Formats: sequence, C-alpha cells, structure tokens
Amino acid sequence: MNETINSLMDIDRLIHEPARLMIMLVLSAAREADFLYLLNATGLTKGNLSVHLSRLEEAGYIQIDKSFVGKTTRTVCQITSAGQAALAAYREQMAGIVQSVG
Amino acid sequence: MTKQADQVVKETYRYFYVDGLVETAVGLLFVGVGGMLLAWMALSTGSWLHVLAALALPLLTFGGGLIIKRVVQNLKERITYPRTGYVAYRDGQPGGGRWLIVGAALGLALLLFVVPAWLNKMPAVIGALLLVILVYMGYRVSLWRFYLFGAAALVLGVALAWLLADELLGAALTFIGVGAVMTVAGTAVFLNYLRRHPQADEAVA
Repeated sequence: MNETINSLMDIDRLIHEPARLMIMLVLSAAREADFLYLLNATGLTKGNLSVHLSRLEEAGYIQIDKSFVGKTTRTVCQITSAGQAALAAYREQMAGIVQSVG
Repeated sequence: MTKQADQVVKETYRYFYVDGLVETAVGLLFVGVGGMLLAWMALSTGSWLHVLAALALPLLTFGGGLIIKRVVQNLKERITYPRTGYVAYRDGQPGGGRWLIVGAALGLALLLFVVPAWLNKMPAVIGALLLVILVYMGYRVSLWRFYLFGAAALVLGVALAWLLADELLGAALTFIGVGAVMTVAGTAVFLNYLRRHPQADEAVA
C-alpha cells in the first residue's frame, strides 16, 4: 500500500489533469491535429483549451505551429517524443496503481 | 471527460470516416473496377480494346487508390477541416489494414492456386475477402457501418456465385454491388455530416 501511495505521489500531474490527458491521448493517436478538432474532441472552451495547450507546450510535451490556410489561421498541435514518452510512462504508472489497488 | 483512454484514441481514428467521403470514393472505385471487368468481358477477345481493358484494370485498381487518396484529401481540406477540424494520421493509420489487404490478397491467390475449383466460386471468394477487410477496418475504428458493408459483400458474393454460372460476371457484379452500397451509404453520411455541421463563419485559432 505504501508503494501505491508513493506511485501516486510520483505521478505526472501535468498529464494527470483530465483535459490535458485527453489532449495528449488525441495527439498520440494522430500525427497532428488542429485547434478546432481539439476543441470539438475535448468539449473545452477556447480559453481553457488555449491554457492547457500552452502548459503542455511549455513542458515540451507538444509542439504548436500556426499557419495560414487561405485566409484563415490554422493552429496545429503535434505530440513530441518527450510527450509520447511521458504519456507512456503515465499509462504504465496508472496501470500499476490500478493493479495494486484492485 | 469520463471517456476511456481507448475510446478517445478510437474516436480520433474514426474521425477519418466522419464525413463519408472515404466510403463514397472507395465505393466508386469498386463500381469502376466492376464496370471495367464487364467492359473487358463484353469486348471481343483479341481486339485492341480488349487488351486495353485488361491493362486498364490493374491500373485502375492500384492507380485509383492513389487518386482517391488525393481527391479525398482535397475534399476534406475544403469541406471537413473548416467545419470540424483538421487531423493528419501517421502512415498506416487509421484503418491500419494495408498489410491485412496484402495478406488477404496473397491468401486468396494461394487458395486459388491450391484449390483451383474455387475459381468457379469467384464472387463468393471476393465477397469473403471483402468481408475480412471491411470487418477488420470496422473493428479498428469501432464503426458499425463497415460491418454492414462486409456482410453485404459476403451475401452478394455468395448469392451471385449461386445464381450465375459465369464467375467473371458474378465477380464484376459483386464489385459493382458492394461499391454501390458503399457509395450510397457514404453519400448519406456526407449529407448528414453537412446538415449537422454548417460552415463555420469565423476562423478558430
């Protein structure tokens, strides 16, 4: 049980937050996705999504690029290799915790 | 926010088929392949048109795949991405059935080599092959309409193998039938998608 508590303390809180976890999962399934898709997929508001994306970008988990498609801007997000590794570690850690508790 | 992790991933894969454009395009390709087979059969053996049709068939099958990819991508860029967002996938995603299709085709070739009598049941064999491919694609992305396409392919293939003595005609009609089902279903999905997602007025960034 002590080990489980220690594992919980070590968990990556940046990914553990549900909205950010969802963003990371979506981006792990695709090569890249834009802001509009992430908005629809997560159900977050534009402001909230922007904040979460910025936090993930600051951590080096995702990369954000802005480009023009015709007259509109497209904000495209990509998971980085550090982000992939962090997500894989998080999933492994959570699976371990669930196993030890259940 | 209570979605399972796997569900989020599958939803992202499924988004590739959200507008029905892929099924419509693949359906049209199948109709084209079936039509080309019919044309080849109708043309007198030895004529240059007969040879041309025989050459055009593999070109249409493999080249059509490449053309479909470009056309669908172009349409998605104009129609889907401005409405519900842009997603690009890694190679092999989201269907991931490339190797299954190659394997199934090789398996079919081997089967026909080992049991040539099955050549007489070509429509049923094609129907079974399409069933495997379509059901696998449906399973990968949890999209039930692919199961229906697979079932339609098998039923049509078996029925035509049973009803028609000419196996090539049966094969052509199997492709045309399955293609028509996919095109109609894809178009219905596309129209429904357009109804549910009118063009956004402003750019989101």
